Amino acid sequence: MINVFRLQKMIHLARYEAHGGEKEMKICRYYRGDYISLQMIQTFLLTTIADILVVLLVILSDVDKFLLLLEEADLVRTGIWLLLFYAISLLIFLQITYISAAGRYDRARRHLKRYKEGLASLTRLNSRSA
Amino acid sequence: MQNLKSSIASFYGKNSLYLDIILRFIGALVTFLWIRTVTGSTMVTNMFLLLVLSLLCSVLPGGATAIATVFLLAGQAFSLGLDIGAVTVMILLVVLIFFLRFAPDTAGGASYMAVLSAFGLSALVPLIGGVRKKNGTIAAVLCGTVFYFLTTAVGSCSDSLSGLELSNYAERLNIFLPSVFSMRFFVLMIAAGATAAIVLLINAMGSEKGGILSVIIGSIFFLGFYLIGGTILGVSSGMAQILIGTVVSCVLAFLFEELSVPVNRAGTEAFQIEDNHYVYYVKAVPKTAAADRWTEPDEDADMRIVPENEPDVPNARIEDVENVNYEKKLEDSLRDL
Repeated sequence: MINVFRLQKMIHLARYEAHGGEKEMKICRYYRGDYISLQMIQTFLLTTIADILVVLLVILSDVDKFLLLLEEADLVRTGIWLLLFYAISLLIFLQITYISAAGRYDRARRHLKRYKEGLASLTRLNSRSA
Repeated sequence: MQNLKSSIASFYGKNSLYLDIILRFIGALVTFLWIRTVTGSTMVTNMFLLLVLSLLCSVLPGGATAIATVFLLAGQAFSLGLDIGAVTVMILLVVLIFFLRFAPDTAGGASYMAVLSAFGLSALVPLIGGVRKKNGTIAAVLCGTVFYFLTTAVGSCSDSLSGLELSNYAERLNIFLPSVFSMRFFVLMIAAGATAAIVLLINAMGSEKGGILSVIIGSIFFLGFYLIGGTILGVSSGMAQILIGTVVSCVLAFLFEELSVPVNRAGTEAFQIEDNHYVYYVKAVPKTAAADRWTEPDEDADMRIVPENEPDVPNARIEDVENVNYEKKLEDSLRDL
């Protein structure tokens, strides 16, 4: 005979696996610090590429002015401004990444903990019925 | 209003799979038609091809429309010249890097933002995204603004660029880039992004009337910022359109907030689980008042820790799966509720 209570548990667990559970299990394979660091490294690389593209776009928007700037302006000062822009953009995006990655990891841990509790109770039910 | 809400919920709950596809198809078709009209695109002139592309985007995951938009735009930009195409691709790359990094599942919002901005309804996406509590709305709104101005620039600059030699890169880019990154672009981007943030913040507070309050405050803020910021920075074009569009967006967002119900957007699910004795073929039919797509288990759900001395539920006879009348069972359980 079919145990409806046990069946409901199995359905809940199967639905969790089907909807995002696998993704959260992959996240929880890392330590918290490692996962956040990985995300921040990816953001660092992508932000660097994006900043280079933005600077290129600014240069291309007025090439004549840029060439004049190269001839007449203080290159050290221009370089400092560029580094400041890069540092500020990096800071903002790394902060956003840290907050979102930490939140995602904590949520995944919470869900996985409940999933494992569900599995444990299902195992107990199975052993009782056996 | 309650009767209308429950009938909409019931209708959507039964037909969510087909309705989602139809709505995505219409959204994709309108987006591609708008790009073709504004840019004078020579890439996709055949209406049948557009219909097929829209159908594909409607069945593929949500980002398909945005990716197709990117390709169409880049293709049309390359037809104006290699320099314009390269610069367009660079802008799109910057946008995609930030967008896909932080909000990959709100790709649809970006393309809808672009199309709706063309009709003056720039406030609609930030308002509805904020009401739906989608954090990625801010990224979708910013990217959609870039798509909109890029598309209109490709369309408006084609005549002036065709008069210049292809080797005259500096002058061609001098015409193209300022038409993309105009003052109006910055005003609209900041207004829409800040509106989305404010609406999200008010909804996050969790008050009972938070949805309606956030729509009203968001609309007032968007209009005020655009008008004042536009006046200070000398942006005078499109003010009347923005005024009317914001009022319409506010009304539409208000209706959305009033009439929306949480439904299981996954629709009917079917899967198979087995244990040592049985194979279970499960068909999960969402209740119309069911919680949103299952990403967070309910505190009171069956996944709590089972005490050791909890008695077994009496076994029940399970009918043949194919002969079960699910609609009747759904009605019975709703009546019991």
